[in-house]
Parts: sequence; structure tokens; C-alpha cells
Amino acid sequence: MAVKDVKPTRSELQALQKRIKLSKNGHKLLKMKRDGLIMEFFKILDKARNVREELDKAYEDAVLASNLASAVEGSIALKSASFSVNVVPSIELKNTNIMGVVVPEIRGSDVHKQLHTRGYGVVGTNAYIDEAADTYEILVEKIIVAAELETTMKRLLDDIEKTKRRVNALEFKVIPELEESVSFIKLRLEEMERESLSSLKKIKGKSA
Amino acid sequence: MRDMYRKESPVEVSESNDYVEKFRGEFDKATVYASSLKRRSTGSSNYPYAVTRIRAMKVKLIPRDSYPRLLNMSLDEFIFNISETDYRSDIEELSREYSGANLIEHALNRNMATSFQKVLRITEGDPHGLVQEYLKKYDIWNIKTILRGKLHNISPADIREALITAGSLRYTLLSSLSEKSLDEILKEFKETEYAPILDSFDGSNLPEIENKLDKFYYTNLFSVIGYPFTSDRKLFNRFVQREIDGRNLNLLIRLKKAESFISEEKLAEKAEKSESESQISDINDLLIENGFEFNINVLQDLYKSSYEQFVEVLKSSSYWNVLRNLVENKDFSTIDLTDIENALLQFNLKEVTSESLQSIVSIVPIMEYLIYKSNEVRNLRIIARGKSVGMSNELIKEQLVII
Repeated sequence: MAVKDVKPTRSELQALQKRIKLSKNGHKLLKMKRDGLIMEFFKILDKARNVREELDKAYEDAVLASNLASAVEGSIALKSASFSVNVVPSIELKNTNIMGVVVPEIRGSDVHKQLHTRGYGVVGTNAYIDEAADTYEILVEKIIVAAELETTMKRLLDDIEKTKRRVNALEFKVIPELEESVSFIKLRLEEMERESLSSLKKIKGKSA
Repeated sequence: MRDMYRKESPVEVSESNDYVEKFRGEFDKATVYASSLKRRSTGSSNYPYAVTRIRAMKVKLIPRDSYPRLLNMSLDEFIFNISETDYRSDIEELSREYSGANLIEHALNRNMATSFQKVLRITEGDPHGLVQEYLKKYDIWNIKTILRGKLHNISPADIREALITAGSLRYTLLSSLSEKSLDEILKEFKETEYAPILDSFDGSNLPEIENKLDKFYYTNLFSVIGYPFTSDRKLFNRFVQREIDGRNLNLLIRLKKAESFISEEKLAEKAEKSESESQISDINDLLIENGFEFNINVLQDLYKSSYEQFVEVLKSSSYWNVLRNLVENKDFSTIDLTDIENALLQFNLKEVTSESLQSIVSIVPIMEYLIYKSNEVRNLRIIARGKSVGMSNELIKEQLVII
């Protein structure tokens, strides 16, 4: 709000003073929200860092186990065993709220199966196939956990950025401008008061 | 299709086996022997000729000294070297379709199938019948692959790529089956020995059917062997029994290891959902009968026992020497299954080699060739696949079983 657009009236002054109070309150709350979100972000960052390391390790293990199974049992045997996987893992997606930020909660079911529920007969297969299946199931589990944490982090970061912009806007633009307008109105009102006082004195002098 | 099989009723076999169990008299032995004679292939055995030819084939296998040299080659050098051996024609013929490690794998499987068919052509009479029955493991493999593929809508081309035609079922038949629907496939097997098992296939019980087929393979082998009166059948019987021991031990350790990773809370949680999901309903459905050192009762007890008890039982067996370093100071969760499988395979190869030296003209040298050939294919595939994905030489070497 530019100063020149402000009407120098008492009612405008009161309205502006109310807006300043509201903005200061909002600024304080948004600052608290920003700090809270940053704290939550750092908490999740530690977890996400560990999960990312675990995910990388799980990926390496899965690739190695799959390569070993393919080498020892043959890609044909591995392919044949993979044909038999009949229960596809299902993903359940819920939303939770962290300080007003909607973040996903991802739960996977039927990801890590037991040996005899994988879909292939256990009598005709061997440990190489089991290890390949097992390591890939662990990898999918880690991907689900990492997806939840990393999406949460991304949403938190977006919201921290948004809140930071709002705090800065209030702190460096909105409140100073309002305060400037208030001081302008105050000065203008004082000046108007002085003008009316002097004109009153003039009138009093003429009549006397 | 109907002519390709000699249909044998498993019921008849089990009844005859029970009969022997009840009455151990000579008369009954003779009855069983007579029934086993019926199952023999026609024609006289040609052991001296067959064993000589097969020993000559064994000499052509890649010697153990060549493996370190092959290990130090790049994949291209490896393919070039392999194409200078017995695998040349297979590699040349398949090189239009495949390349790299895929080419080697398909060429190795094709060569193995051709070699096994050659063994069948060389042998006559009793050894021919036994080898034919032994190679039915590839028929079972192909049936399982086709069922898996059809059940999960895999393309016929992909199913055909996963077939290994080293058994009795020809490629043309299997290839035509890969084009058919599940119902048509099951109909095709109606008049075969697999019909009683495949009839119970309802589309949702594939693992159960696979287990039954794998168990049927051994049941059928024993029914073909019959009561092992001749020294040759005794040797074959022992060979199959050793293989069963290896399979049962592997399976048992796999199951125990898988169980050791399930926490008690998870087990309880799963048990609430569905009991059948959380535990194996009957271990007997999975274990194969007629092992050499471990009978079904011992294995059942081992399944219920602790790791310490398991090790104690293992100590009293001939497998202890090969498994000692792999099982001592460990538990089911830390035991390395792949090392155990490799150790048992090595043990089996060593046993059959020593028996082959003792029984020079018998079924053993023929079986020795079959398992040495399949082990060679396994080793070469490990090297090719390992090289193609950049595995270290040490890791590749650990997986090889070289005798």
C-alpha cells in the first residue's frame, strides 16, 4: 500500500493499526510455524539419509543376488521362477498432517512374502532363487519407506519455502509499509489539527 | 502324445511298496521284482559299449585345469574359446538370435540337451530306461515353466525361450503347448503319468502342483527302479537316494532359515489373519521320501528341532565332513545356503566319481557323465554371466564347483 493512496482519516488510522496488530501476530505465528517445520524437516532428514543408505545397499544386494541366481541357475530358471509370482504387492496411501502440511503415509502389504507363499514350488527351486526374491522384496520395502520420507521432505521443503516467503513479506514489506502509512496519517492528522487550530485563532482574532 | 508315455498308476506302485513292507518274504520280493521287470525297457543292456562311448564323451568335457584360464578371460575371449570346443555348432547356430551371455547360456543348454539325447541313443535296455526316467526332470521343468507362463499370461515366445528340451518331451510338442490355452494344455496331458497331479490344478494352487510334480519325479524313479535286486539298480538307487538327501537337506535348511527371520509378533499377527499363510501345513508335502541317510521321520524331527539338535544329527552323517565348516558356530539365520548347496553338489560329484571307479561297467559312469555335463554347463554359465555383469573373479570362483 503506497503512502499516497492512504486517506489521512482517523478511521483509516484505526483500521491500519488493527491490520498492523494482525500482521504482527501472523508474523509471529508464521515464524513459529517455519521454525517448527524446519525442526520436523531435520528430524526426517536424518531418517531419510539412513533409509537412502539402506536403499542403496538393498539395491546393490538385490542386483548381486539376481546376477548370482542368473549365473548359477541360469537366466532361464530365474525367468521361469519369476513367471510364478502371482501376488503383486499392494500400496495403501493415506494422508497425515504435520503443522498444516499434508504428507503421505505409504504402507505396503504382501511385499515380503514367506518362502512357501512366493508362488513357486519350493521343492524344485533353490537358495539362489530365494535370495534373489528375498533381496528384491527387501528393496521394494525400502523403496516404499524412502518414497514416504522423501515425499514428506519435499512437501515440507515446499511449505518451509512458502512460509519463509510469507514471514519475509510480512517482516520487510507489509508491516513496515503499514507502519509508514500510520505515521503518515498521524503526521497528516496532526498537521490538519494545527491548521484548524490556526484558522480557529484567526477567526477568533477577526471577530474580536 | 498318448504314445509317448507308458502310463503307470502311482496307486499301483504305492500298493506294491506297501506289500513289500508288510511281507518281507522271498515270494513278495519276487512279485515286486516281476513288476519292476515289467517296467523295464525292452532290449538287452549294452553296458560295455555304452560305458566306453560315454567315457569318451566325458574326456571331451572341459578339464578342471582350464577353468582358471577361462576365469581370466574377457567375455569375448571366453565366447571365442568356448566356440572352439564341443559347443561350436550350437554357438554358431544360435548366434543369429542371441549375443553375449545369452548366446552362451542358450548354446550350453542346447548342447546339454543334445548330449543327453546322445546318451539315450547310445544306451539300450536297462540303462536306457533308467537314463530316460532320470532325464524326466527336464520334462517336469518344462511342464512347470509352461504352466507358470500360461497362468501369468507370458507370451509363447518367452515361454519357449525358457524351455530345456533334454527330457522325453520334444521341442515341437512343448512349443505347440506354449501356444495353447491352459485348459488345452491340461487336456494334452490327460493320458500321461502327470494326469493325476495336473487334474488337481485349479489355477490357484500352482506351488502345490509344482511341489507334487517334483516329488512325483522321484516317486516315479523309484517305481521304475523297483526293488533293487541287481547291483546296477542298487547303484542307481543309491545315486538317486543321495540326490534326494541333498535336496531334502537344502529344503530343510531353507525353510528353517526363512522361519528364523520371521519375528514372533509377525507370526502371531499372520496366524490371526490366516493360519495357512503363516506356516507350512505339512512338511511331508515338501520332503521327498527314500533318502539315503535321512529318512522322512528323521527329517520331520529335524524340522521341529533346534539348530544344535540339527547339527548333532548332521554330525552322525557322512555329510558332516563337507558341511562342518559351513554349519559350525552358526545358526539358521546366519547359515549360508548357497555355500551349502555348492558343498552338497561337490560331495555328490565326488561320491559318484569314486563309485564310478569301483563299478567301471555299470550305470554309474553313465550317471556320472550326466551330472558332470550338467555341472560343466553350470560352471560355464556362471563364468559367462558373471563376466557379463562385471562380477569379480573371486566371486565367480566361489560359485564354481570344480572336481
